[in-house]
Amino acid sequence: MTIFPPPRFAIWLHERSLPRDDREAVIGDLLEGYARRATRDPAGARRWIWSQTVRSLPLNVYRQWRSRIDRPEIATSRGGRIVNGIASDIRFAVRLLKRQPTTSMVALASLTAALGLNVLLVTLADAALVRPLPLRSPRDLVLVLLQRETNLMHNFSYPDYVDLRDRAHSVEALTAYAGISGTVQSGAGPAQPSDGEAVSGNFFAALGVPMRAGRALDESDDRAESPRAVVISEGLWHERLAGAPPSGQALLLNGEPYSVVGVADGRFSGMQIGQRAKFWVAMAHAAPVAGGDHLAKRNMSWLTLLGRLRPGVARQAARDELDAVLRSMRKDSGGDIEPVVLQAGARGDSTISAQLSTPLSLLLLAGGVVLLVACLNVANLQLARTADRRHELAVRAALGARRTQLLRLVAVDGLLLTCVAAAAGVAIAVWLQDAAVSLIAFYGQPVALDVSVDLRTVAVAAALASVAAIAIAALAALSLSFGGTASLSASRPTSRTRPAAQRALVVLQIALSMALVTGAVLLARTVDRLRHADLGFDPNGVAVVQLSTEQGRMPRSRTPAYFDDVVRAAAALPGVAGAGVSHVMPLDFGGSRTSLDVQGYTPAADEEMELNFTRVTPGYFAAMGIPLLQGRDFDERDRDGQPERVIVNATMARRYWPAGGAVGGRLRFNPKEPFAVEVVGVVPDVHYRMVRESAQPSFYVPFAQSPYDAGVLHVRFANASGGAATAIAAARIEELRRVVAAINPAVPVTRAHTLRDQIERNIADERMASAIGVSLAAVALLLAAAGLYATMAFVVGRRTREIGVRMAIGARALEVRALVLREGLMLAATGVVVGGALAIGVGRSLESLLYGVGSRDLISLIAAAAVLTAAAVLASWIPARRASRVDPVVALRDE
Amino acid sequence: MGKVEALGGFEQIVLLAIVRLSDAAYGSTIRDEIEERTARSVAIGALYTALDRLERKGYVSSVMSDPTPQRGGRAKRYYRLRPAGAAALRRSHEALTSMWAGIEVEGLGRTRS
Repeated sequence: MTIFPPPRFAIWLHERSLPRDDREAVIGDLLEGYARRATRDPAGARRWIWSQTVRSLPLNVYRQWRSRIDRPEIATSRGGRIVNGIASDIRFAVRLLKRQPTTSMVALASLTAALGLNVLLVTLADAALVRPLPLRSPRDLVLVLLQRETNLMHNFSYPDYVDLRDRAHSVEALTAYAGISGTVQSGAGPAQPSDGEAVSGNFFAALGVPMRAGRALDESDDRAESPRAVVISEGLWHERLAGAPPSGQALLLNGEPYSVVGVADGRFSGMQIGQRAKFWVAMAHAAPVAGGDHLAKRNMSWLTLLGRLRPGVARQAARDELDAVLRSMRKDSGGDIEPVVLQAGARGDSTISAQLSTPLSLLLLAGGVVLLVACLNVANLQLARTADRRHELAVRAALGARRTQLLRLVAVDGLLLTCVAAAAGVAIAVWLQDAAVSLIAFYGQPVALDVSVDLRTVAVAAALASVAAIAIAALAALSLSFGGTASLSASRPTSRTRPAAQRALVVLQIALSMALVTGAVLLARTVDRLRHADLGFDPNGVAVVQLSTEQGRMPRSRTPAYFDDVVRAAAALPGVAGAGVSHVMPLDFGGSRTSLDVQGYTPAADEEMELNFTRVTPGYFAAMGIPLLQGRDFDERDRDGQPERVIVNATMARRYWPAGGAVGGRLRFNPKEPFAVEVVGVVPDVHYRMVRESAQPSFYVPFAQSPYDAGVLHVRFANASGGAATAIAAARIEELRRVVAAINPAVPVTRAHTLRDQIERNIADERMASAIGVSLAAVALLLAAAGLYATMAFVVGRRTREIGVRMAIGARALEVRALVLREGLMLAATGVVVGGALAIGVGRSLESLLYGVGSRDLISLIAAAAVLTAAAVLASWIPARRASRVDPVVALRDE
Repeated sequence: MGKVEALGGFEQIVLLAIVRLSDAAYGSTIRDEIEERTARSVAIGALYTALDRLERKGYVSSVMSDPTPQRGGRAKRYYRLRPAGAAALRRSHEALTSMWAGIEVEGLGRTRS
């Protein structure tokens, strides 16, 4: 030894990091080198040994890890044992998985698909139901509402807003906004109908709306004398300005010039989640899109109020103050006094969660079931593997391995699979998220949802994966206690092994899949029923073109003449069988209602006398394919100045004129006037707002006698029927656009598609549920089939000897095949029966989404059972064929 | 099985050092030999990683010596070339000489300037 001792810490580091076998030689080498240097240059020797340590440490650790893998053995220290144990476990798991690549791939694919689907569903549900708006501290925002009877209203007038803003001090910044729609036009491009928002001057600053470029609107923009400024969405920015810096480029909103001053960040698409707002203008300049005197009228309630509570102010205190202010205001102005209610405003006034929470929670549930099926699958494959390793495990147990060590040996490959599957699942979710969002529709309109994958997504994936890993480990542990390590002598694989646990798992998988498939069939049949529902009109071969005379700034008095021209021009086109205009789009979730009195009819005390009605031009019924049951269609006699006339539907005729004689009946809309409105015709019931609604009394008034600021041109094309007719209609929509543009280019087309498209939009919720339900069921089915296949393959492998004996004594290949197939089908049949019971429960939970099929629909159950049986036959076929090819000589020699 | 693994550059140097040292090849001497001849500093961890790999490939074998009073009484691990290692060295020598044939070391990299 030298008089200069080597740095002890460096030596210690080497010792800890080196493989046990190498410590002596390597430390010896180090000390030798150190000693030689230390005699000449002690400081240099220390530097040398430290440089050696730093450079060697990672390599030492790597070598230690490798040596663990090559020679798993008991390490001395506890920490080292755990680290080394895990390293060797991973290594061991990789080796195991490699040994059975097919089953491992099946397990990995199962888990990946299930985890990916679940991450996707959770992300969607999060975006649609939970995630707040992308604003600064959204949790501090409160929505100001008024309680009107049992309803919460969020409509205030501009003068109300100004008073509340200026007089209430508990709210730091009270902002106001309103959804508006108008056409957007830049350069010579066509006017495009778009949604936007009119906002108060403090809106952007107070809420902290994220900006992409340029500046936000501020108080100075919200003055009548300031120039008209607009902030546009990122989408519109790329579309119209090609992403050029916003610097006052001109944009026409409803034909009026605005200058673009800023671009909102793509995450922000309006105050309603799912909405696609494309522009924001200050209240003071909202006239072209909101109407003229929107700032002055106290009875025009159109604003939603959202505020940020002053720090330290309780919500209740703020409510009391706002309530007091509103009361004193209303005392002055004489309006109704309604109590103020404050609600969390983190999601603005979004209503999407109310609409989507039922279907999305059902889908989440279904996703959970798919994950469970995948876990069963992996557990099942693991059971097969455990059974194969029974002998190995027994040997290990005999040599003194503890139970937990054995369990680790069994569970570790499941854990590894889960980790890999979780990562792949996130990738799949990212890949599919846009497609998934496009499935979601809100009132038939596509939605903008922020489903960007972030830490939350990864956390969700990790949580799901942990659940899966725990489930798999628990199932593996269960298999171990099924006498997995009974005794060394009994552990040799024999043909007598009956994998009971495995069979139970397969039956469970099939049962769960049966339930999901039944649910999917019910949803698919619902969509089919909705598509083929008798709507009261013929939806094939009709094009609908919505025209906004309001946006075209046409006085209401001139619209009847304009629409007459439109109808005449359309009807003159070749191949047109009928054309007419109604004031609203059918099946558009909305419409008009009015109250009325019927001559000679006394309503019950609580009977509602408010009915749906539609303004229509002559020719509308022919275009829609609605036959007249009695009386006549409207014609040129039913003009302004003529006696008012209506056509009623069959339900209305039956209800108010039960003895018949609806034609000629009389009613009035104003209880102070005589019964002057005459019924001239009766038509069948027509679905008015939604496909899935029951028949209600409704009626039609002549457009000419009740002009309106918009109209929908309906054009029926002849010479074909069914889908072909709709294709013809779709092909001629551009022609219709040209025709109406020629009549008055200022009136924009706000929508143009076929009536079939309209139906598809109307049933978008059901289509979404069906599409997601079918994909989930397909995955579950695939997983269950894989599970059955693996089990049957395992059984065949296990019974090779038995099969060999059977064949040696004369069993034919066909009989052997039938033997295996029968066993597979027995498992499937048990699963189908159990699943049938589950499926009835599934049907009940789906009831609110179903239409035209009962929750216990026999056809759906039979169809699902057939699908599962077919899958079971396919899954058992390959093992059965393999069994029938067993060579008796080889099979018998094997033992 | 299958194709023969190529020798890495550093592995080749370590093997050659073992050949040169014949009976005296252990960690310290191998490192010194390489540092002296190639003028590059060798981390002991890197050296043993390479030795590990060579041993796994069957190119070298090792034995622990009896402890000596030097080095704090620690034993040395002596390395010896095995026939497979010699064959690997020959293969890589042949490959290199055939690749180098006709190339002037001095002329390298000048053709473009």
